[in-house]
Amino acid sequence: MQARCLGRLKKEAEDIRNNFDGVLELDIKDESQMCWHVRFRGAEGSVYNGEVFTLQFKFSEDYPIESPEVIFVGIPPEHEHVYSNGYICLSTLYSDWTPALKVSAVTMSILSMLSSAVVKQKPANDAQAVVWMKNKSPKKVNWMFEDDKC
Amino acid sequence: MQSQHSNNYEDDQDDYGWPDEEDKEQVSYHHQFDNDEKRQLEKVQKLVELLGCSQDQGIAIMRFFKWNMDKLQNEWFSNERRLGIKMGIEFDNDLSKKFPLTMQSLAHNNQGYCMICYGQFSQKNKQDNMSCGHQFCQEDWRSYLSQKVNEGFQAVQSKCPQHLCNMVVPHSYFVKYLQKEDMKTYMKWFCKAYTDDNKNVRWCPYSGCDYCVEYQDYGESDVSCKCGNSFCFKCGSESHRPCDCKQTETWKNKNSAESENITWIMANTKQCPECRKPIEKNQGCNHMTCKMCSYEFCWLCQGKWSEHGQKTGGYYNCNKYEELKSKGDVKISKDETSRQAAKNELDRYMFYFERFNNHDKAEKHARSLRPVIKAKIQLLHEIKKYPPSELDFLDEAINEVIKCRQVLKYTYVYGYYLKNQKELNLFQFLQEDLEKNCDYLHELIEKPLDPYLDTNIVDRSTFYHFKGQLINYYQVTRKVRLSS
Ligand SMILES: [Zn+2]
Ligand SMILES: [Zn+2]
Ligand SMILES: [Zn+2]
Repeated sequence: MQARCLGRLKKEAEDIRNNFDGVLELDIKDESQMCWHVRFRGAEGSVYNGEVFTLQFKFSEDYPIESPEVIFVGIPPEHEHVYSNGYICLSTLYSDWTPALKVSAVTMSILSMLSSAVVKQKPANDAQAVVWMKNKSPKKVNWMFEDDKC
Repeated sequence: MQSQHSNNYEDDQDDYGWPDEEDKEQVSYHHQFDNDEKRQLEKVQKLVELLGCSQDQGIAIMRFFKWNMDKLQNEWFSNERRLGIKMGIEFDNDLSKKFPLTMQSLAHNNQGYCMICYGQFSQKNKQDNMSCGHQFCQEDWRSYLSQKVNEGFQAVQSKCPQHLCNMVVPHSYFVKYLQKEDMKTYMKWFCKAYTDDNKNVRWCPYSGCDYCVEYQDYGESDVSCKCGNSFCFKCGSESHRPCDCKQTETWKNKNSAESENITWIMANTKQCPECRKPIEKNQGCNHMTCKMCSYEFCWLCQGKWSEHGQKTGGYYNCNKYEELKSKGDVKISKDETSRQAAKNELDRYMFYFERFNNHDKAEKHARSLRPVIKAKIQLLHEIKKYPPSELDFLDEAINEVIKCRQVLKYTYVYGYYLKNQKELNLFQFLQEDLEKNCDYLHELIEKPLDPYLDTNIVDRSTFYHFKGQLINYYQVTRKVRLSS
């Protein structure tokens, strides 16, 4: 187990508990600490106002050099960049990942992505895409990022 | 039978009578990786002296302008700052305003912590940063760059680990942090970035060849690769002299459009003009000898081979297409005339295609002969103790055959598109000359070399005679080939 990964996750957990109290709720799912659930509420004034969503982060030993695998678990928000299997089309999670990013920053940028939506709407190719993605890690999907927000 | 081929042979082996034309086709070549790095850095060094910039900046600038100095000099000086930001050698200060997050790993904001491992900087865990100021510990730089390199070629464009920072990681950082295998991989990408972007460098198109060719002068478009093959630098495909790239492409497209007709030709195996037994061509040259009746003929025109020699007055017509003339006294309807015209056009195309294809096959045959000859050279050296320098001519000869076949192939494409009759006549004369000599040469080199390996034969004069003949012919073909 890489010391870097563990040391960092420990500090990130502290950061979330100390600095995002009442905004992000952290639930470490396993003993090895490599799977996290982060719960948050849809922003006030947005179309998701009050709804509760859960993001799952799976880390590898090479985190944060390697990006975490991030998906929605439970009921995902209805959004044009979120598929009904919970996969998220956001370049920051894949090609634009950098090791200076962190769980809180990723969660906040997903929250802001949701907040900017005007209508609740599934991706155009949702049903088809969910079939393609079956048994494939979201990190192995060939994402096409349509715009900066995506 | 062979004696007719030796008409130009002179006994003095060292006086071949032709100036060495080899220089004309040699263009500098170099190896895939080792030298690329040096060449690349030499060019960068010139820029470093010109601009007074660092080597890292020089590499980034050269890459951005795809190693084109003219473009660089036109655009760089008026837009230094804007371009510097774009190519990632100058930090975009607006980023800190637009994205406060990018500030967190700056020295005055990070409280002495590395924003990757969250470990505190110390003597043991030293920090390092590019000119953007985003600090990370050295161990993380190493891991970060190692991961990038193993992700692929894009590694050469890796950015600062700080999210949203525009700075591109310079060459010297990879050199500083990468070790062993990672460094090897990086150098592969580093060289690839040069060869892929540089308009003056092309990979040799022949399969199995790992060399690339760097080209300096745009005058002549054919280049020779170290592997012995030559190719067109402009379009990157095999040499197609005397055709230009456009003509070559048109021809290739026509061939695929006519593929049905071509299949028909291929399906028709030829018969011996004498005894009518089917004959298959499995050698390179056009001189055929029927196994059944020993009749010697030309594969292309089916005429007697003896009529192809220079001694018989040079009757050689198999490279000239003659339209079948309709008899004047028969009344022909309009329909009939256009049908005839279409048929003539197809016949004409078939005529040229068959010859093109014939040389193509002969070229492939000669290529397959190359390793055989290499092995024989080795044996002649080991068994008969000929010094290697005395055996080079065999290698030269087979390479010459390949080059001739390649040129001949495309002379038929050129001829097909040449509409001016006067030019065509002159052209066909040259073509004929080359075709004849190439056939002789090909026939000579195809002969088994085993008799010269016989240890019971002490007399070497037959070998030297053979050598003289070969050299004589390849000097002739080279001269004809390069005179176009
Ligand atoms: Zn660090
Ligand atoms: Zn930076
Ligand atoms: Zn070309």
